[in-house]
Amino acid sequence: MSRLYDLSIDEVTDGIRNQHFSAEEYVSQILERISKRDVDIKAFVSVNTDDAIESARRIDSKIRKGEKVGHLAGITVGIKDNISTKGLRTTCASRVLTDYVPPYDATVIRKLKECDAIIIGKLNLDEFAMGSTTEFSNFGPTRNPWNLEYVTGGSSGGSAAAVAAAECTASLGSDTGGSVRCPASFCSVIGFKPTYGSVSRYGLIAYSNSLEQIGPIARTVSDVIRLMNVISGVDPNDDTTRTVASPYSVEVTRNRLRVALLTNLTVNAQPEVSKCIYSAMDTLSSAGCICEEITLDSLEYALASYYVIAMAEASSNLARYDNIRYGFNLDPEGYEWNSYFAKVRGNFGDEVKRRIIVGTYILSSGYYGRYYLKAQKVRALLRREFKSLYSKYDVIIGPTMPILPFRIGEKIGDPIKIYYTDIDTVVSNLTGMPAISIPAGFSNGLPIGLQIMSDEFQEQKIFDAALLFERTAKIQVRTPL
Amino acid sequence: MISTYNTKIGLEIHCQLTGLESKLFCSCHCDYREYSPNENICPTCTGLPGTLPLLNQTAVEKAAMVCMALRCTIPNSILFYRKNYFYLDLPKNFQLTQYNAHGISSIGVDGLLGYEQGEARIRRVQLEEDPGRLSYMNGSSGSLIDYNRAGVPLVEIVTEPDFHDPKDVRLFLNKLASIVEHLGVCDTRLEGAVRCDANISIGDSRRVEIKNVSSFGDVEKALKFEMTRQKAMLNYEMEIRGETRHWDEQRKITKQSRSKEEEQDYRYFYEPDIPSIQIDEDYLKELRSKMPELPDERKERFINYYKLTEHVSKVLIDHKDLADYFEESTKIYFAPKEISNIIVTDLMSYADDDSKKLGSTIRNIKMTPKQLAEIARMIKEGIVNRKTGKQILYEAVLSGNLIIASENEMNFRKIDDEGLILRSIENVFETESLAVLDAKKNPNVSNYLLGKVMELTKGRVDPGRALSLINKKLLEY
Amino acid sequence: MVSKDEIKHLAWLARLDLSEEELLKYESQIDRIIQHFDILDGLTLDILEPTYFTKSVRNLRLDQAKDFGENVLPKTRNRKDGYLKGPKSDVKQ
Repeated sequence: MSRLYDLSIDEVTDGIRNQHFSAEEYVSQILERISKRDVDIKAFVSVNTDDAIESARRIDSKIRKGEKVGHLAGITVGIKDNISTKGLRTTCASRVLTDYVPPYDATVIRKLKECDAIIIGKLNLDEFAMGSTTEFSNFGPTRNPWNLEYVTGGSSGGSAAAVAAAECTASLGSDTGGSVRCPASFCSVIGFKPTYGSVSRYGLIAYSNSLEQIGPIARTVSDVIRLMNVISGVDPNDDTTRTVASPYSVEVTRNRLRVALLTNLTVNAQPEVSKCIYSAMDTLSSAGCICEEITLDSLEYALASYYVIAMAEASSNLARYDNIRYGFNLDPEGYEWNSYFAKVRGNFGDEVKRRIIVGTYILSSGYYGRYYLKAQKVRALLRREFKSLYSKYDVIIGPTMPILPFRIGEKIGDPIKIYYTDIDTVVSNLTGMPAISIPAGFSNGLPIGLQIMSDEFQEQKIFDAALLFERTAKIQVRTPL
Repeated sequence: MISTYNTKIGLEIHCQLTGLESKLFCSCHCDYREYSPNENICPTCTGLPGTLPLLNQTAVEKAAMVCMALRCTIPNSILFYRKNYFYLDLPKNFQLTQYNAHGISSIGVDGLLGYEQGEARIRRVQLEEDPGRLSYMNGSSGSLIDYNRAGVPLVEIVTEPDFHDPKDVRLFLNKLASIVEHLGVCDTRLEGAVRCDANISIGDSRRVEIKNVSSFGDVEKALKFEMTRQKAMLNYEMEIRGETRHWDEQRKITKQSRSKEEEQDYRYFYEPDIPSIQIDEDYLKELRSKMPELPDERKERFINYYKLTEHVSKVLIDHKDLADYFEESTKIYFAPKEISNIIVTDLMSYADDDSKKLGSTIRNIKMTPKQLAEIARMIKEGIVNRKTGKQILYEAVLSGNLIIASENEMNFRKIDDEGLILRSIENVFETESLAVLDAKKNPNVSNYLLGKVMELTKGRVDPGRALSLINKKLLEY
Repeated sequence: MVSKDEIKHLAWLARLDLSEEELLKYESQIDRIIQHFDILDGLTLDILEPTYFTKSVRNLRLDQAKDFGENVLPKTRNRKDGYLKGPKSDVKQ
């Protein structure tokens, strides 16, 4: 069978279980696809070829013997390279972790393996997940499969590009300020950021631990839901996980959703983007939803609050990289310790260094109240205001990104320009509430994403809206080339 | 002269929660002492990327008990903070603690502990983690790091500067040690289990901090030294710099701190991986009811129930294992006055100087509480006289054997023949050649040899005489 | 205004080696970033407390010891007699 790589999760698992094709055949096609496309796209940092084939053969053998296999048996999942995979090098796209091989699996990895999903490889990102274009990777940028001159978005650029180019069935990314949704939008795939505390962060290499969540990226909404059903749940290894609302349904559970379009987001968007979002709203109306427009003033403080908190936490989370216990090759004997630490950490890229410095500044005595504490209070304010909105609406929509994807290198000279692309996504991380990005259309061949948000632990409402939209808008899942 | 100076001393005490099974934020063993370097570690306590702290429930429980014993207020919710600084023994290059520069979030505040000479206010009690251990390579081309201790739970107790004399500090620390022992929170005898920093200011002079005092016993010495040093400076009208000084255990002096403990900006902020821990009133009530008896309460009980004197009760309480031994023995045969007297006079005298250190008195004594109860019974019921009883006691302490006989019997059975005694001694010397060598260096080992002789002669030899013969023989070797 | 000296000091606090080029490059960038945070000055939120997620003390991890069961750190990387090797520290023996 050809073009197996285009298949969705159900199509793959059904096909393998019913022996229409073998897992080994499927994995081989995926690996071939990767070797063909990834030369140009550069989504993968490392490919897990041998293990993947071996896992596939084990699955096939079990099926032939009539033994039970996990319900995700045979699917190939790409993993953002800031999620710990036991025995597989995990670099965070940083020189500082060149040789780091984790001795343990992240909880989400363990859960995927328990369902017999196959870890196909590690995917490119902005160094330590700090960025919105994947241009800050030590390995160089990943290229947008829809147009190789353009950015994929970030920081989970590799995760989105690989899924878009059908180099894997699905992938996992991490979302701190939009890092799953942004590349999903730019690459025309579906990316989901769960409620904070619904997916274990054990094994996620921390950038900003009060904001981030691991999220799935796939080509259909139901694939995203299936992955969420596997990876979500309270984890005794993560005390910030709380009772979850899973399992989620892949069928729409409610039709007449009350939808609000947050015009703050469209007002600042490029006209093509805005137009597409309004059109999306019409689509939802035609599907039976009740749609309205709203504004929220306090949103103007969201971006500053996000960066204050993220950079402050990053400066502390990255302090551990001193090359003593793990890292790269540099014998410490003979060095004075301050010099050694500084030399090791001099290997961070520009963006990481900038954020660490700013984060250190923010937390310094004297500035704590003015920036960090203030930003935390803004979070509390936004939570309160959104909670009140969600008493009236089921979901709130808007564009995922204010702009269309841009050329590689276009904004890299000015970090602040890149920060501003996060303006639509950060609020969900600040409030801890879930949000999805789904393909809403193209403009001049460049993808636009629709963002749907809900109250915490109300993911099903997002999924309902997304399923409705997917079904009604009839957005064809196309694979570039 | 300077006698009218107003001296203010405050303490910052760290106790390891040695009573726990696991570390503060991971399941590695809390008792790290027997492991080879880096054998008691996991991804969490070595700060591997992606790991998360998991707060130990019993650590909170034990810390709360300490707060209750110190009469602190315990808030409804507690938080943890990061103290950010770089060092080689700090796996994450931040320490998880409860202290922060912006507000109060410790497990206990505003307590009070009375001791013999007064009382001291407790500013706060909090949980935090121990760092790893550093040692140094030969030729000092680098350091050697062991993470076995990293993440071990500590409870930090900070007092107000309510002490005015180093002696008061010693009495206070003894009381505190007794409390944490009784609570089963910390075995203060274990190496590294307690540390104490002290700060001292004389009159209007600046405060000096003394760090690195690793036993309660040395705190008084360090403070005395520092006071003398400062008073001498004041006498010569020299200004006392506000600084941190290190206690040199070997030389018994305080000295200027070498490292630039400059303006350390710790950039405290709340640890996002640990939620705000809710401590409800019912939980505290349950804790209070299951708390082990505190030393003061136990002393009261010894006085009121067992009718012991203040002095005897205090001696027992000050050495927890003596108090335990006493109660166990008394449960078997209820003769509290007799038993406690024997313990406080006789048993204490059998303990050598080393083991007289807090708590280890019982360690070298082979006699069981049951045997003591039996001896007390025999004495009280007139079966043996006190003198014979002491002999039986002596025998039991050294050999663990209870040889019961009346005085007449004991006299009848007594061996007077010096020749026989010497032969028994020779016999023992032959079989215990290693001990004989030891005895040449350490006079206490003669007691061991005596015990063997008593064993061999079934207690029929006069111990005093046998001991002098043994010592005489040792001179020949 | 965040000066070059302040950035040097912050880099020291964070143990980051910065070349002269980097210092020059970052100076204006970092200053502008921090200026963008000034928008927060316009808010008075004295009544609000930060939100903390909560957990009951009764739901915390039980005190049980467990060996990790495998090598946490590779046994051959940067070792000497089982210890991890580190650079020279402040205190001399």
